[in-house]
Amino acid sequence: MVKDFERTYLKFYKEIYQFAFSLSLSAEDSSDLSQEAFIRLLKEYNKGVTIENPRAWLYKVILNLWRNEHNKSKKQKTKNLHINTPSTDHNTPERNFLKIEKRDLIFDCMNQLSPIERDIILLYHDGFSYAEIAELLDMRTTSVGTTLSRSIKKLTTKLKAKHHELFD
Amino acid sequence: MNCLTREETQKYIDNELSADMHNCISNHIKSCDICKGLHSEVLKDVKQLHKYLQVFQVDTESIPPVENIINAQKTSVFTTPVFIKSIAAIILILVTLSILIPYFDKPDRITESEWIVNNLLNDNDPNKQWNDNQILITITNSSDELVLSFALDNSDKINK
Repeated sequence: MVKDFERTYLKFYKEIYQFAFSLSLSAEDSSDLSQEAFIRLLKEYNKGVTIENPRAWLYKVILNLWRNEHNKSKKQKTKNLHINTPSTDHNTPERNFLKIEKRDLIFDCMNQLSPIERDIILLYHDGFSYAEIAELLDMRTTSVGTTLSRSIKKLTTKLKAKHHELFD
Repeated sequence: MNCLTREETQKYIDNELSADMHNCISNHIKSCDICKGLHSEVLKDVKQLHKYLQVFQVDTESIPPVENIINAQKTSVFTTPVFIKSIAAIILILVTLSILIPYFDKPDRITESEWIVNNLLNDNDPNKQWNDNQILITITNSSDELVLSFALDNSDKINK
C-alpha cells in the first residue's frame, strides 16, 4: 500500500504542485495544498479504498481545497514574485523580470474570468478530456465544449487587447 | 452540412466528436472557406492558450521526501481539532457546575436541628417553650443563615 502510494506520489507530485501554483501563484500555498492532497490520498489508501484515477482525484482535491481556502479569505492573495526560477539560469535578470510580469498579467486576466471558466482552462491545458473535466467540475459533458470555447475566446481577447505588446 | 459554430470547431480540434461527425466536419472544412478560416482561428487560440499558460511552469527544486507525507498523516486522534474542542467544552461545563452547585443546595428554612441547638446554646428549653405557648422568632440573613432567634411569651415580652 505504501509502495503504491510512493509510486503515485513520485509520479504526480510535480504536476499537482504545478496545478496548485497556477491557482494560487504562491509557492507556500502550493506546497501546503499539494501536501494536504497527498495526505488525504494516503488516508484513502490506508482505508483500503481503490482509486482508479489518482491523478484526477488529486486534481479534484486541490480544486476543493483551493475553493475552501479562497472562500475563507476573500482578500487578494499576494503574489510571490520571488518564486522558484529555473536554477539552470539561461535567463538574464531582464528576461526573468519579463517572465514574471507576463505571468502576473495572465494571472490577473484569468482571475477576471469566472471560477468555472478559469478552472476549465487550466484543466484543459493539463490535458484532461471533456468527460474528465465534467466530472472534476461537476458539470455536464455537453456543456464543457461550449464553456471551454467561450473561456478561451474571452481570455485570449483580453490578453491581446490589453497586453498585446507582451505577447507579440 | 451547415457551417460550424465555434463550439463545434473546438470539439473537432479536441477530438471530442463521434467518428462519423469528425469525418463529416473534416470533409466540410476542406470545402468551406469560412469554416476553414474559423478552424484556423480556433486552432491558433488554442495554441496561444497553451503558450500563455506555460508562464506558470515552475521548476520545483525537488520532490519533498515521501516520509514527510507519511509522518504528517499519522496524526493522533488526540490532537484533532474536534477532540480538543470536546475536551475544552467538558472542562468548561465542569468549571461552571463547580461554581454553581453550592448555590443549589440551600435550605429554604431553618432546620429543626439548628433550631434546637440554637435554643440550647441560649439556655432555652424547647419543650418548656412549647408548653408555655411561646412564639419562637428566628431571623435569618439573605443566605438563609440563622442570625438571631428569640421567643415571645404570652405577655409579648421579649426574652432573649
